[in-house]
Amino acid sequence: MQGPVFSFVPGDSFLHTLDPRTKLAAVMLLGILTFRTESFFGIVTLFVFFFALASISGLPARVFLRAVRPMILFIIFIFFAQLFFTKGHVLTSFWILNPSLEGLQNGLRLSARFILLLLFAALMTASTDPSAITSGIERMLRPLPLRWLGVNSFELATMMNLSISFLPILFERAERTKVAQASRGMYFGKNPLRSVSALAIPLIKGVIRDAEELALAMESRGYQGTRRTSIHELRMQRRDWISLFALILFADFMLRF
Amino acid sequence: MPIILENVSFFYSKNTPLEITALKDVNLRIEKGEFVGILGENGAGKSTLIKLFNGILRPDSGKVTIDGLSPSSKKAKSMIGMVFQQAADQLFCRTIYDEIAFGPLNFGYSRKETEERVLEALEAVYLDRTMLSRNPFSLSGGEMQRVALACALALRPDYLVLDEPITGIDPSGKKEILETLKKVKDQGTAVITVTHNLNGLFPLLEKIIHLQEGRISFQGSRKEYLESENVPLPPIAAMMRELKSSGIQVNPALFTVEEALEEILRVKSIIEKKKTEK
Repeated sequence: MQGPVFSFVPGDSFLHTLDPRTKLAAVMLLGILTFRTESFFGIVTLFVFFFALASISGLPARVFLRAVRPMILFIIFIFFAQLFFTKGHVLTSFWILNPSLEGLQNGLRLSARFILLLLFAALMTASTDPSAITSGIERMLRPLPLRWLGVNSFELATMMNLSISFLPILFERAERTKVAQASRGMYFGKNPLRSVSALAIPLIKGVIRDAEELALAMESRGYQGTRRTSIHELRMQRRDWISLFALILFADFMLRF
Repeated sequence: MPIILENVSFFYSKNTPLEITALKDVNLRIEKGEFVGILGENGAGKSTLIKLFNGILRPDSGKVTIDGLSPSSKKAKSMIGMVFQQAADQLFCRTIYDEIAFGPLNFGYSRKETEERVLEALEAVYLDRTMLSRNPFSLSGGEMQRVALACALALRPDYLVLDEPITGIDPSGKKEILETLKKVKDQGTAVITVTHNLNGLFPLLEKIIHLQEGRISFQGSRKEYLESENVPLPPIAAMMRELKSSGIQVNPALFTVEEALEEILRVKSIIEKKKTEK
């Protein structure tokens, strides 16, 4: 079975052992960095940096290919849009299209940035257990005064956890409804839109029922949405602080160009 | 013409490390008007097997034919009525009428013909006409199961295929479903039911297919089943077999309380007779 995009690949590399908060902060920082980097040299440096991290992580290459693949059409579209619609020195012209040199540069830069973003995100999600990511986010949100909005970070973390674990249930339910409809003479082959419209309503209704049931089950086991303790308390280690510090130095170096 | 399976094998996640053999070299023939029970443990391949009958799954090798037709043809599909395990997942319309009419309308019957079929199906499962405008999800579990059965019956199938039809249903609901099935069978429809609930359905079964790890480990009449070794037995039959193995000469191939009582009393009188003769 092929895992979904951005799924966790267990391992014991340096990246796997880092605190999820370190990795979340790193991805945010690197995300900002990719969009602040203008020069060709800077982008190449970021790619080199990515390959260094990827080799440390020991993750298989397919993890990263799989992260980029679904977005490839979008990236190609961005590239061509930049290439043809940026004004500048016209390279060559055919029909009504005038690709420009500046367009080529912009297109390459933007597509490289998107690819970098996807790669760094894949690096984090593949080296971090999803539940660790949610508890990391929860811990990072804790100091924020979310109470004013009527939620707290624990509720947000539970919501994230539940939505992740609900996905396979959703697919299973869709499959069962589809099979039930097909065996009463519904043809799905001809028109994909028809299958979507036939499935959507029962699926949404079903999922709402599931959610109600789950809420009851959680309440009957004492869930209150208040502060909860965790089996795995997150603790920043020395290597987390060192990595973050190193990353900040790297960012500082990059932004000086 | 029957349902015929020839050397059918089916694998999940084929050609991956997670490949699972669900069915292996299954040969099967089910005639119209038979009452067939497909028995076996969880994961033995029962539900996979019935999904081959209406083309939801296609065999990886071997051949399935329904009256000589491919199971995925529309004609074959209209001959097979399916009722799956979770009734709530099979109901998706706004009213019970729409729900039961969904099948017939899909197969192109006229409004009038459809209405006729809906009413007939509703009656067959002992539900009231006043229910037709209600929402399927306002029903109890047992009623939902009966609506799901009505949906299949509205197609007037030649083969009615059910997955665990009476599991999780209260005794009175169970009785009504069993009566419906008996009636349907008497009208010449084959009833094929997957179950491990031997208690309720067993007396109705004429032919039994026992699956074990994707292979047919037993196939034959109910009488042969009761006499064969290494198959799960209904409680009464298991008890009679225990009695026999402890040295009391009873006929073990029984499965109803009444029959068992009669048999035990018969043997008892023989034993007493022997005692007085001594």
